[in-house]
Amino acid sequence: MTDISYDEYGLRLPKKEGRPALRLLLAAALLVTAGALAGIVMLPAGGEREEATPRLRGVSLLSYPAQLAEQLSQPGNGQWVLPTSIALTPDGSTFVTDTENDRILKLDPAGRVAATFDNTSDERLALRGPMAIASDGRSLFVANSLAAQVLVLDLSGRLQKTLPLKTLSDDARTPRPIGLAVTPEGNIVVADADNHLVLFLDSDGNVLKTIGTGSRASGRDGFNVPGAITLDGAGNIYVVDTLNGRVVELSPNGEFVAQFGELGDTAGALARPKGVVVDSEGNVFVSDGLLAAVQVFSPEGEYLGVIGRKDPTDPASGSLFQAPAGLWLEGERLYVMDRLAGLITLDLIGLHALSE
Amino acid sequence: MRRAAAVIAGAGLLVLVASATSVLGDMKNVSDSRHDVAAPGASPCVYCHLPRDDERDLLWPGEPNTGGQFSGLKPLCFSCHDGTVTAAGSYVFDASRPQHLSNPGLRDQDCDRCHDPHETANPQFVKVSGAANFCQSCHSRAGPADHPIDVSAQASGITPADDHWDPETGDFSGTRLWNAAGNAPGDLMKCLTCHTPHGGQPDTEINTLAFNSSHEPFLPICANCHYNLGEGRVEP
Repeated sequence: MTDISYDEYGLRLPKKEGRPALRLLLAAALLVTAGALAGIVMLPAGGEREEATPRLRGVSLLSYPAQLAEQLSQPGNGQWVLPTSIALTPDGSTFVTDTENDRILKLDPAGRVAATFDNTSDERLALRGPMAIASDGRSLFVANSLAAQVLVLDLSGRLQKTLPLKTLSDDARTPRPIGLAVTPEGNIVVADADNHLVLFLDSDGNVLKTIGTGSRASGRDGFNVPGAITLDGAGNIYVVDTLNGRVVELSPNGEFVAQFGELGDTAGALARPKGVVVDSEGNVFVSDGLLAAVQVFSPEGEYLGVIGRKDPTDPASGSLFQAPAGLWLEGERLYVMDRLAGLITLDLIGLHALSE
Repeated sequence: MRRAAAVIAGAGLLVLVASATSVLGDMKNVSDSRHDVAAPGASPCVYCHLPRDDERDLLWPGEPNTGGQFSGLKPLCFSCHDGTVTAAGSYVFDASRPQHLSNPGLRDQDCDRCHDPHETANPQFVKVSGAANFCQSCHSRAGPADHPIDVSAQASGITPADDHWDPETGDFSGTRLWNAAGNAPGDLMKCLTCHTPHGGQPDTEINTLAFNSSHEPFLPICANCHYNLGEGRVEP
């Protein structure tokens, strides 16, 4: 195992920091103990995971290995208010929804505000509570929550399309989209929080399919406030099911596949899941706005650890985060859009690296 | 001796029943309120009193944010009132806007200074009565000694320059006239006509309009109704 040291948040520190040996020993002992308790099989040098862990109940004992990269609380001359969601495009641009200010900010690679998108940049752009942003590399897709719309913008912020969400039945409420993702086929998957539905739309906004009962539900039936949505490399869809304390995995066709987490505040349980992202190995990262942490699950749903908590054994020990929400993963770099603390980025090391 | 024991036991039983009634009463209120977010078959309690361990004890969630303005009860409230579970109230957590004084982390001095999530007798889960005049429950000075309240703007011949507002969207600007119950738009002046506990104007006593004015000495918050003051005409 390589030399590893951790800061007070359980995050791995750069080697140049030169942490005391005692701390290193304690961190290593914690990992070994936690691994033994959790039944985790540390991996051989080849890096493939051999065996899934039995479900760990009780307090979290694991820090998922990550290293703080940057914290950009107030980028450049712009001050955001309760930002929610983040999306990166292949040209290195970062877009965030500045929700309470009803605008979208484009950040340069250094985190400075490069452009502001609102009705002053395009008079047709009427943002009202933008809660989520996604991109297919060519366009931006915005969940304009209080206007019941999905907006499609080009990368320079010009409005391309407005897709109004219709009220689907007489007893339904006005849709309130708070999460969305774009499929490889160009369809848009949208979370309607107030009707507890996940909608599949074509590129013109026509409803292709709805998932859910139309009211609060649990189990395989549906959702209780569906929120952020992301896709994995195979096109499977992951939906934050906020009040059921879980992430639901759907097949590309919308069939229930699995769930990650359950309502609670113990290891592997979620209190208020807000954001979700999936890495290339299928590991699922879930931000939790109430536990102020990011929890990690294997593709099989096993709990792998927590990111951001000072003491992983104590939920009340304090956190690197305040109210983490939107997530984005670019390679090994995890972007966390914290509603209060701003944009925090971390470099993931991965459990396999620890075994080398 | 036996009689004394029986009395003590009886008193204890009464306390137990009273406590249970109180708690169950709260549960009933939550069940009938907008704070009931339960999916069918689930308890409405578990969404805030999170299941903590294998025994499923209903305990308060761990407090990950220790100290600072975002600690105590606030994170729990914000975890729903952040535009996800509900669109109502995220402006309360906008640190750039003046808010009513609170002491995060201290019991009855945080959000729970005014709100009780189980309380449904008053609008907005406010735990004291008075509706749009509920300020008076703490601020005894408010009332007839100051600007009159519960007076009709229309009867006074006043039409405020900005009296269009929607309490459901957190509109905290302009002059907000209320109905008699103080829970919806109307014609009456009440405390919350000029004040707002959340999102007031900068450098004011959480007022809905600014104090500073380009037409000194007539303050915008006054001139919004008493618009004749600055123009040499007779005030209605």
